[in-house]
Amino acid sequence: MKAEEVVAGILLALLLIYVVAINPDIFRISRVGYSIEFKFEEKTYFIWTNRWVDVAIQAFMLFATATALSALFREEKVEEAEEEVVVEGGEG
Amino acid sequence: MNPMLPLLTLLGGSVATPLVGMFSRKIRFEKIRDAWAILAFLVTTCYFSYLIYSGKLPLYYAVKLEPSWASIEIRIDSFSAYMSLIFSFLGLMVSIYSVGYMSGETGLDEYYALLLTLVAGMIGVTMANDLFTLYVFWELMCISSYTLVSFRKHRWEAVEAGFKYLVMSTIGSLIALYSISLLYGIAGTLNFSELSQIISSGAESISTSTLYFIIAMIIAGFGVTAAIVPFHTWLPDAHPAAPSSISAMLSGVVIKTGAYVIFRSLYAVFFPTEFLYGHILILFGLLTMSVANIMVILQKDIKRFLAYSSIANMGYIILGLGVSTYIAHFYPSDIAAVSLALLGSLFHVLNHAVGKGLLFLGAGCFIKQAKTRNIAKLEGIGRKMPVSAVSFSVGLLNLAGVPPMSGFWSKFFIIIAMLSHPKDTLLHTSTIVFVVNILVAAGYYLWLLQRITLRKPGEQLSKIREVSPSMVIPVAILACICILLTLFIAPVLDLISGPVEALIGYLHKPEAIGGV
Repeated sequence: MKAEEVVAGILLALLLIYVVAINPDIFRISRVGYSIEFKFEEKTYFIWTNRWVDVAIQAFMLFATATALSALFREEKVEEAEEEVVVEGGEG
Repeated sequence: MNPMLPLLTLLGGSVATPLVGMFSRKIRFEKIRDAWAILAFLVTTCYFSYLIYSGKLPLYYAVKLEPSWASIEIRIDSFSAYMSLIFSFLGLMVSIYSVGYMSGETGLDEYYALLLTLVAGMIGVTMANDLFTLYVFWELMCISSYTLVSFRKHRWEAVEAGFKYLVMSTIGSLIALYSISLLYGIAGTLNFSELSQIISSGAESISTSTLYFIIAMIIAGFGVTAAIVPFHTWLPDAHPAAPSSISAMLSGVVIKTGAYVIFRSLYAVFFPTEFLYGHILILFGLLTMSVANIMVILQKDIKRFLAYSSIANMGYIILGLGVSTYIAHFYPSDIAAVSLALLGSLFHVLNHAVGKGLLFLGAGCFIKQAKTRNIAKLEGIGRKMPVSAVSFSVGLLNLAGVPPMSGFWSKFFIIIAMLSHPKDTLLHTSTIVFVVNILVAAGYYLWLLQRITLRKPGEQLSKIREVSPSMVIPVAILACICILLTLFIAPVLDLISGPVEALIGYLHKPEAIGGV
């Protein structure tokens, strides 16, 4: 068996375990108990308060992404001589 | 002054940069765009300097609006202001340096816009009053840094390093996000002060193992950016591949942002007096510095050499944090040792930011002229570029911890804190490993110094001249600051005592953060 197939098998098994752990109903497995008691459904005020900065920054993230794409897809002319790259294992 | 001023300046400056760039091309004077970015960093640096010296900290800023989601809540304490001052000052130096270093490259509108966004993201991380806002700023910082690493996209090296950084940092961010969402799930809030109250009161059957799981994910998630071994593998590729100005930012401040979040989250939310994670941090710190110091010795590329030494220095900083939390847990009455370890660690943040910023910018000067990063081919270049070489040597001596340079004192404080409990086996053994690492580091820094500055230059360097003033000036300023940090160590330590008190304050009064 090739190494890639083993890795793929392990990943698939992990995915199945994850799905069963998060949503056991998919396989009609009933959950007996759950160790974490989630509070956020009772107290939702936090997520709806003081969010102006976050919303504004998410807009800036779009700007940053657009700028990043613009930088990476720009036309480039290399005029100067480039610095030599030291390849690991090569001659020093 | 409005605490939003630095963010507005940097983000506004970033959005306006392409417009200023268009205008400057129209009048055929592109330096206006460069000056614009320098001005934005200057305003921010002045703001934080004023804030620290005016003594108006902590500053809690809240604007209540309807609907409530539109309200604003940010907080600047001594620790935030201290880190923000370092970030904005290095941004200022890098933007000045870039005028000469990046001349002749295309896409400079985007370059300066992303540089401003990068620093805005880092400053936002320090000003956030809750983990959700912190994470949003964190992502802003990450997006900018990925692109800046692969800015020279015509080179395979930059694209490969940028992609590796993107993949590893995104995995780290997702791990961090998972820990944040778990915290929100169990506490119903992410506000630092509310979280600390809920968790310290042991409220409502929160499982201890879940909390330790969250601590582990915070350290691992943000530890990727902080380059803690074994999450460090992106850094030795990203730093050499990026333009030297960006390497200085990455090594000088971006990795410190990861350390900042770990410091803040652990001290503000998971009090070290109640949770035991100090020994894990000590082991991570020792592992980080030992692996990195061994790797430095094998390097032939000057930027890769400096990159690995940055990882080693992050090991010192994490060790200082680990020692402070370990002592706070097992010897809670010994606040002096806890403070001393934190003082050493935070002082080293400053020393390394200035020193490594200087070394990367100095190396950039050599590389720009010699067109090589090979240490063997850069031998003796210091004799041809005296100002750069003297400044570079100051940075090397500082980070080597040669007495009386400030780099010596920061490590010395951590050692003294570790020796405060000589009967403790872990602290005792760690001190020995730490001292051995310091000596190894001093050896390779001095080895680099003699190769760059003392040896006779080869034939290939015969036509080398000093770089342009816009590149030399920031390098010389950073060297002067290394010397000033040494000469005026007392006021510098006074300055750092503010952040130390801000962190120590959490151990006594959770509401010290200035939260609701």
